[in-house]
Amino acid sequence: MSQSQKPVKTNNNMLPDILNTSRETGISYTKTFNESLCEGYHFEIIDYIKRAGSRSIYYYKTEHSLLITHFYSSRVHILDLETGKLRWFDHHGTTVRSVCVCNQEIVTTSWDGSVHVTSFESLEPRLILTEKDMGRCPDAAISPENESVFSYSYDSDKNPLLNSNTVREWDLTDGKLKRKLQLPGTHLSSRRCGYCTVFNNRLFVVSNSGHLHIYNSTTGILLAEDFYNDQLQSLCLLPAFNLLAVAGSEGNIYLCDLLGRRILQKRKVHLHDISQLLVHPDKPEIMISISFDGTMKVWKLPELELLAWVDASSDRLWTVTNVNDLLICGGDEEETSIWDIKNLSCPVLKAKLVFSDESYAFLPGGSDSFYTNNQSIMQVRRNEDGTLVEGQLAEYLLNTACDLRILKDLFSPENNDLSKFRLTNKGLLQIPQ
Amino acid sequence: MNTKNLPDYYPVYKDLADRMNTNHSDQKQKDLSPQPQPPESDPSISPVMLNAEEITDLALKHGFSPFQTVILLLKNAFEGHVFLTYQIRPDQLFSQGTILFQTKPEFMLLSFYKDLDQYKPGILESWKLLQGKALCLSGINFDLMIQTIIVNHVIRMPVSLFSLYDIRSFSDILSVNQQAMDQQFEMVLSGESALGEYEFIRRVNFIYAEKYKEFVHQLSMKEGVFLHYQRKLALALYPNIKTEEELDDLMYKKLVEEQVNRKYYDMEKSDAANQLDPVISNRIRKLQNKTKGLYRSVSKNCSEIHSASDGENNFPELNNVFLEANIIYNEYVSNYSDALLQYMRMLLLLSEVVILRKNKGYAITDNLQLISEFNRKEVLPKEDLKSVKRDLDSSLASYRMKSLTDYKMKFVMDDDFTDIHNHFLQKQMDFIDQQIIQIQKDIKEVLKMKSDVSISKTSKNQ
Repeated sequence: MSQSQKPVKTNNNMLPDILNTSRETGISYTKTFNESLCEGYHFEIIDYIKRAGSRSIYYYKTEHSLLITHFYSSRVHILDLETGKLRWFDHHGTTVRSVCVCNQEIVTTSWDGSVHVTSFESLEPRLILTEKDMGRCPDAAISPENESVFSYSYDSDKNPLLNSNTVREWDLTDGKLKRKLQLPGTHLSSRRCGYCTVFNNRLFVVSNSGHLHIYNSTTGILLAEDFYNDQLQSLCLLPAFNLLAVAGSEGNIYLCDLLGRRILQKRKVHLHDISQLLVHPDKPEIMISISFDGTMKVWKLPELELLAWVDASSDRLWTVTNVNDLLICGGDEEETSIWDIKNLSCPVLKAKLVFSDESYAFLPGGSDSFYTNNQSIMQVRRNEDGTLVEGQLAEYLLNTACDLRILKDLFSPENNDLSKFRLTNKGLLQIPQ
Repeated sequence: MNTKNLPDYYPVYKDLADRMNTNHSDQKQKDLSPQPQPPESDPSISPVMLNAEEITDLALKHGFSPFQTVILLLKNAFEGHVFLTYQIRPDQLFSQGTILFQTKPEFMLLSFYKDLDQYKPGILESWKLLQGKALCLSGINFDLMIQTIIVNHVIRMPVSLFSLYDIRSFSDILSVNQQAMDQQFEMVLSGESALGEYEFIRRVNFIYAEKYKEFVHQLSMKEGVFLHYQRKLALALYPNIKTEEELDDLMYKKLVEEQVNRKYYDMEKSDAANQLDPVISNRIRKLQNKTKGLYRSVSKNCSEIHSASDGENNFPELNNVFLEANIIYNEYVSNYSDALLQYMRMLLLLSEVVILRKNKGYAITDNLQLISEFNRKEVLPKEDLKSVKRDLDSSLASYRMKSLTDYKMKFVMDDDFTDIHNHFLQKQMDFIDQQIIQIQKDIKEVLKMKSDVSISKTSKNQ
């Protein structure tokens, strides 16, 4: 709405009113023709497009890229957040349960019972780490010097006589098996879960046997053991407070000392399994938990004070990671959601990300634009009656609303102020350069 | 500025035809008796593809140097690759250029270099054949020679430019480090990929501007006006501004300030470039020197435009090339990837102007320094190479976004959308017109309100 259409107060304290009104005016002027053209429509993914869900998401800061593995696909996608380019590989036979990067190589673990090491640049596999008796592999941890990878597997898949899960240490240089640790304890049920991580020469492992084990990661000697009587699934180190947090199928978070000997706090915080705990890398006092109950919660440490929670999914959540002040979480549900946590007590849903085979779509909330690398997976509807727009007009609108800038801006480390950008960028008004 | 229709690759059949024509006219000068058959009727110079042996024989028969023959063999492998991969014949390659212009563009030279290992054994066989036929070709490092041709991007150019180059400079005794050579090759791939992407974006821009020129120019002007008023509105809100005159004065003052700040910003930018790691700045300087050499060659090959009298433009293509060369040469370079793209663009321009001159029958300025020493021994840190690729990707992604390439592509590639786009461009013109009218009204209203308040304050004080 322009200023002339708005009543302007006239009083002695005039300037602030003018300023406020004109700021609004400025905003209306910055609306581009294309934005106004797309008003009254919304863009969505075509119903029959197969969506992959997400199982593990990793942000690779050096290359400003997201790596995503999926719940309904064995493909690993790599999305360059600078250029919007999507690459992928299909080295595993079944779903890939975890992904991370070390030494410019992608480390993936899969239900096919193997760990793959793949070049980030060429996407050529370099190592396949597996043994005949290695079962489903949900997770792997990289040693701090990047010389080894610790794989976590459910070997009882292949050998029913085994009562517990297995951790193997593999040499990342030549792929040789360095050590194999059969975890003490017994499975509490038929369900399998667990997690491992390495810190300060110690390997921390939790398991569906309800145990936390701490090993010397160099010698493999067991240093500590504790039993929680909970099928433990996630673990998070909190070195700033000399604590570690573990969680599992009861929806409890347990805070204990880094030696693993004393439980300092136990709190039921989710209705169902807690699938991941994450410490904000730039804010060590902030921890995030996600759960099969579909919620994501933000905690302040060491008190474990709940700052905020959101219903991030109507289904199970499996994975969460951060990019600057954004949290990206996903799970069984077909869409991965992106939350702005600049204000920690009030996460704001910024966008959704959907992957399907060779395509993806980025759908920001409250915007008439979107971005996809393949417009044929999208359709457009009229807001007023929900009817589908078809033909040339639909294609025209899709082409008009598809804008890489919205993806780039959201993930930009500077987190551009959109209004500032508009005033300084001629191209937004659609004039060819 | 359009240099886009200029061929950027000189095929083998043209090289051979040139030489035969030269030999033919030389012969004519020597012997005034009628010639038995003109060279144009020779089937070997029509745009058919020859095999390596035929090329070697023809090259030796018509007096090409062994180095020129090797270049011809490499070009022939490239043309074979293009035909097998894209079903494009050498004559089509000559007229259409090395970028396959489609929604997902193909950069043919890049594709060839990526598959070079498949073609190298064949070229090596031909080299051995050549060694058997020509004298004094022992002691030559074949790999170094091929690498030099590729690293210096010789393949685009007519081989006649390399008649004086001494093949003995690729001596076996020169020490090379394979890793350094591989890195140089990697850099060639990055450069070709970046150049292809850059040229594709430019071409989309160019075709779009041509196809919708009716609106583009007007929209651009209107947008300038609109931005002017946007700034004016923002300044109208300054507390002391109450009249049009005061506002105009302030606008002028701000304009001057902006100019000064821009100069200061440019100085800061050049300072930032100087603050780079000395090893990297040295690398950038070396590459810029090569670009400078290319720039001089381009300028020399545009010399006709300097001798043209005022207002006369008998050489529009040369004029465009020269202006383009100046734009490229004066562009600000802040890192190695900028320098690499600048070098590649200048190189492309040089190949275009040289081929243009060949086509028009103009003489090509001699002594083009096209083959230079390259780093055969020093291995660069892996991270440096990665950062060059990253920077190139990032700046090209920005250029693509700024140019709205993905948006324009549909209206450039698909003629079915021309009418509907014209329709909406007209709507867009109306939209900006309305915005301009509205913003003008708003500026007036703001000034009026401020002046009313000022009067009311004064009367209250009285």
